[in-house]
Amino acid sequence: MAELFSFHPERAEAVLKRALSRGADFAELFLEDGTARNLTLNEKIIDAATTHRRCGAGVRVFSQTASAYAYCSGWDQEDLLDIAQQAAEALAAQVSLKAQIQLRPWIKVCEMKAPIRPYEAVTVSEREQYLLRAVHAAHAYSPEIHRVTASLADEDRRVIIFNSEGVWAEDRRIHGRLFIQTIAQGEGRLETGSVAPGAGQDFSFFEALDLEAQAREAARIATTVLHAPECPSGQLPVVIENGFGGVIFHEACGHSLEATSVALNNSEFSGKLGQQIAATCVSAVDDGTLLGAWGSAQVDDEGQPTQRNLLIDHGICTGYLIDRLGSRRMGMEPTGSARRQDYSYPATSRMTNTFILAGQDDADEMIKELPQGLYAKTLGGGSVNPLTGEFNFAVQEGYWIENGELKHPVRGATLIGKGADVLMKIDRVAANLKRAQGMCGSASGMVRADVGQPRLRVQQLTVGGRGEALS
Amino acid sequence: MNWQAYQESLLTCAREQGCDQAEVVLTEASSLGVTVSEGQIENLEASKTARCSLRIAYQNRPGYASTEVKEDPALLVAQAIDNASGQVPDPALDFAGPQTYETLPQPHNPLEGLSLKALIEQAYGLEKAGLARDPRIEKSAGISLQVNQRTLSILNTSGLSAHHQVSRGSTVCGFIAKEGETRRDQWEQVSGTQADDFETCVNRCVDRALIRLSGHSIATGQYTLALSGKVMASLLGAFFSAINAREVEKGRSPWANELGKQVAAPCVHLVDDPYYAENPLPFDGEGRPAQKTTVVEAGTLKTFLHHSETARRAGVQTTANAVRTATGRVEIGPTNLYFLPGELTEDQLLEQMGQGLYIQYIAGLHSGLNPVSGDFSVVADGFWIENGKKQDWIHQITIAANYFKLLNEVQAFSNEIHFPGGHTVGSPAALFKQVQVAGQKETPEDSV
Repeated sequence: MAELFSFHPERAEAVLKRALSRGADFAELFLEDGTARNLTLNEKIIDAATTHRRCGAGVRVFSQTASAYAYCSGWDQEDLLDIAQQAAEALAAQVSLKAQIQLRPWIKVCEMKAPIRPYEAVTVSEREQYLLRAVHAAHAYSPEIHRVTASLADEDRRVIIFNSEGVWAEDRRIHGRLFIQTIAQGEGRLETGSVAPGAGQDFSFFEALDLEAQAREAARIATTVLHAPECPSGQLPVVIENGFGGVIFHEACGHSLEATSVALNNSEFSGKLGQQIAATCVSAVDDGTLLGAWGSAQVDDEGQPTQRNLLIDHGICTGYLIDRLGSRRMGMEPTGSARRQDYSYPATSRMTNTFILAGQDDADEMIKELPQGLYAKTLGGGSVNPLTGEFNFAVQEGYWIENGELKHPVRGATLIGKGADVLMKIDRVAANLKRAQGMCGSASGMVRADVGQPRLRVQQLTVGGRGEALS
Repeated sequence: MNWQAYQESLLTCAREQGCDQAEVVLTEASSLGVTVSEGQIENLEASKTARCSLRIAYQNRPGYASTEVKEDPALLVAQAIDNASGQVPDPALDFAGPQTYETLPQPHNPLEGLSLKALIEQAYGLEKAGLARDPRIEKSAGISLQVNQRTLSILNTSGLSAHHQVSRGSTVCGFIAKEGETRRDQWEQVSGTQADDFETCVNRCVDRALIRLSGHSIATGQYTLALSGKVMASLLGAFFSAINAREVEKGRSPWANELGKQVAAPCVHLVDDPYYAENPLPFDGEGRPAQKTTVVEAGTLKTFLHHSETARRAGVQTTANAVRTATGRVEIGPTNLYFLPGELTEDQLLEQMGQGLYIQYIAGLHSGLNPVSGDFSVVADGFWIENGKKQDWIHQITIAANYFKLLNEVQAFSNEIHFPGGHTVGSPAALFKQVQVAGQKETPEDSV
């Protein structure tokens, strides 16, 4: 990587003073400099190889709960003073501001940690050889595998945060993600299957991964779905597998606990602290401290140390995810949950690694008990409207349950429901907790987030398959 | 050094480092935006950014590197050469030379030049207007006005010099309606030359939020379906890979072997149009001059959309559909892609429908679709149609179908094209036959 700029706190002092010069009661400077690489193979040929340097800064000012944000590319001191001026004037133009506050002395809350096997040191050729293994393994699984795409995307970025309360945080965030997609062909159709493991770690994560097993899993999904009939449609009990199955909690509950909507009373869980919002078998956390996890960091994007937040305790709502602005609005402490895609967004409260905790129910019994139902084994993403709690998520690979047995695979359905409703309808939670990686989109852009859960069962969801309606 | 000088220095450096060819795309952008809600400033935003991407041909291999700061040119060139190292050499790799472009009149941006203060006042005005429209409007969920300016320039060692400037505005209204314990929100956007059509934005938003209050689900089953222009446009955009020549090459388009064949109903015409007045584009991402392309004519697939490389391999002319990704890679994308309108007004379309579901919005498309098979399953809401007239609001249902099969079942298009919120894909409303819908059997509790 190119030599990273160093950033002296005296520069930050000048910028923050400018930001406060019109009377704001808080100012923050967020700096970011990093390199993102991507290598994609289409079959055995390199389809894309890119390197991008993302570098910029944002200045935020508050006056009580009004805020202004200005951002620019690069770290040029003139540009930083400019954006500080813009943010200050924008707010001053509209809000009557208090007398100037003084900057507090710096307290360094976080230092960068160097990786052992930085991505910068991994050559294009090494990545290519790595991905070729995945392509070979996927094709070797079945002659029905028609095409394979494999890619490695990594980012090594330095984040520095200064604010008027004296916080000075520096964090180095290193992420990598592998993506393998297979296309199976047969019966006049094409179907896909994919895997996408990632981590907040350097390339040693991928060296330790069972790459061939991942590739075979992507191929297995595609070939299974190729021969699967359409998923039926209607109301059904659904058993959701562990790992990426946790997307149901992410959509049904997680977003609705973010101060982003809670603080404005625009969430169905606003004002529900201490109340029962889920079945008693459900406990859930959001934990940004998990070492090396996809959604983790030492500090959040406002310089607040990340923490383990217990969101639901045996069905009782015990916490929200709160950023600095949310903290002001709600009169509660921030929870280390402020995140943003990059410097072009002001931070807001987001999830990090969010999962339902291990329960005590038997993972096989919850299927055996069902006369009829759906086992959702491989899920896609989803989305939610926190105001109403209406959410959806996609099932890529499912199995029809009849008389307690998995009868045959089914393909392609979106499951919908209302968060508050569905959380109360979870009636079995097994012990086999597992997490998986995803990208989460919201007001402050796309961020990396883990989802997770043990295998669990929901008494009823609306299943939108293309197949026959259930009687 | 300013960015233009940096652009030139990159080209010089690339030559010096032994690149056969080099091309630099520079994007500079600035923005101003306000968001208000509940009578207060929620956010004020201003920005000034730049992004510079380098594409080289090194020993006939393409390489890329990009940056948001004036990185040492030698380093950027070295990164691009490194990225070229694994590529298959292509002796025909050729960056465009000087071109002639038409002067296309740029659409007027009614929000351009407005001060932050003026934007804020306007936003407060919209909020007040929405609240005044109906007592069931509880509050706004946010009113935003944004103005964006962008300049794009492409320079290369073959003498290409292409420049384009864009100024766009948008207004977004969100309102929350409340009745009893039920709350529903709605978002509407006006943009481009219509960015100051505040009355339409507010009224449409408020009226829809109110209609949503009375929503209920319906029983699972097969229903005759009409999709609004907005929904059709979302689907068209989501399944773009079917007509993307690069996806065809990769074996990911179900239309790979369908050139010249019937892929849709006879009333279906699909065009890609860089001359569309709201978003005129004089050149594509490779600097090739604009051209309008008929993709589907009377249901027959006439061509895929190409950039110069896929066109060369297919033995055809480029359709000038190159686009640049955020990292400067040349890929294929639409300019302004839309289904041609039909003859019927929306009312006439619904009359022809008689009874069924007229879907206005969908969600979950990003995850609930398979671009390779065409299958999709999404949450939907819209009107129940009885005797050709809009009745109740239906929600908490899914619709599931195969997009490519659906295109063969279009009965009719309406006569008005909708381009959802600043996007470059549009469509009129469309009427279909029967589609599978999953919902909840109606119970007294459902029909609150």
